[in-house]
Amino acid sequence: MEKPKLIINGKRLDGRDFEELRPIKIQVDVLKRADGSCYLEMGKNKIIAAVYGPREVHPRHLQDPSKAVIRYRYNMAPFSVEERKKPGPDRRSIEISKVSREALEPVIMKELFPRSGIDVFVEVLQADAGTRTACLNAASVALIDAGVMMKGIITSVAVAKVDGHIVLDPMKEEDFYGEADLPVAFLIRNDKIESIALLQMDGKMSVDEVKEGIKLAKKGAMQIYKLQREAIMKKYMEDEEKEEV
Amino acid sequence: MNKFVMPGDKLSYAEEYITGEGVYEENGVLFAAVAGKVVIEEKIIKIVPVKEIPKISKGDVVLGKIVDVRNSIALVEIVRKKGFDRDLAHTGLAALHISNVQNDYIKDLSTAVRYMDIIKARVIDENKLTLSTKEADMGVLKSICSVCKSPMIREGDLLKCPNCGNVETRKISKDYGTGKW
Repeated sequence: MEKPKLIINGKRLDGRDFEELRPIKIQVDVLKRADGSCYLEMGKNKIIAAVYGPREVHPRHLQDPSKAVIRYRYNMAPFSVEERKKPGPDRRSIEISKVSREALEPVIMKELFPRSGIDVFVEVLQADAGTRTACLNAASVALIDAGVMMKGIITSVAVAKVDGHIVLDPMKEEDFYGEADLPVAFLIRNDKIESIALLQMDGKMSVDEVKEGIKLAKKGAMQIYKLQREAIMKKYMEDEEKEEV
Repeated sequence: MNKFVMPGDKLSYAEEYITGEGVYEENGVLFAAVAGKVVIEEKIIKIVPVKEIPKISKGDVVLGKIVDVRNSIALVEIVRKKGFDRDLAHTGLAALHISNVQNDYIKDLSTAVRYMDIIKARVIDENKLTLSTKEADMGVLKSICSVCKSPMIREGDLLKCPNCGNVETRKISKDYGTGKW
């Protein structure tokens, strides 16, 4: 298929500005049996995340006597994309699981739960580019919902280079036909971006473009951070009202 | 009204308070580690979390599985803490000593608990992880027949196997076979 024009009259295909995120919806505590859970929509992405633990690790030899082990599973449902995805882990999802786990590991206070394990499962129900970032956002909220001790909140967003422009939060068409894709995750503490927890790149970008992209991602991340906080706050307020009744 | 905070929110400085549960210190600054309400009591700052992670402490009622019975001690795997519907972090094996099983004398521990029994017990020492089943509602909640491994049914002070008719003794809990604990 021929590459369509991705930017028309300074607007993107879905009418967004370059620095605009897709609409985000976050719901906390959606799974009854999980210790913490979250349902997140980021544009057409639909993600569900569940956290279990700290709990006993099996098999036993995986236990670490000095700290907890974090296990992160990113998985795409067979129906999440147009062409049926073969179920089960593949090269891509194993890699995403690894980098996402490594993004979360330094934030979680693992040394508080020696010999235990914290399991994070994220399922992509519907994919529309930037699923790894959406998954990290959902996982982060689910971890807070589970009451796991963390140093801050992980917030993640992607930027892309599309028709020579740096745009925030690319959707499928931009990811597919764009020149580059740059997912970033930040550790946000006390309303301030402290560090970068994940940074990947697909395609080609110049140094200046990467710098500009990260600047843009920071702006987007702060917006998502606010939404993550609001979602948790909302759930908590509901709990409090119930208690009063 | 106590303030609601989230992980990473700055609370105060290390000079002002002693760090309690859900609070951590870095470079002299106190941060929240969990989402919840801030509570300050006697110079200790802590956070009452949205969802608590169960921790074993003295006096807790726990559910356990007998994994080994020795001469004077039974080893118990703690599965759950009362009031929580959630897995526990790694605890290690707890010990139920023959002297803590019941108030009267027992000669042989295997007349009170056996391998694979599910017991309800109270924690008497959180560091040594010792348990007691002296109370009436503590003791064996579910047991299998040592001959044919089918679940046993309570008959007075004894347990009877409905399959092979084998009769065994246990320190039976008031709640035996009810599914409640």
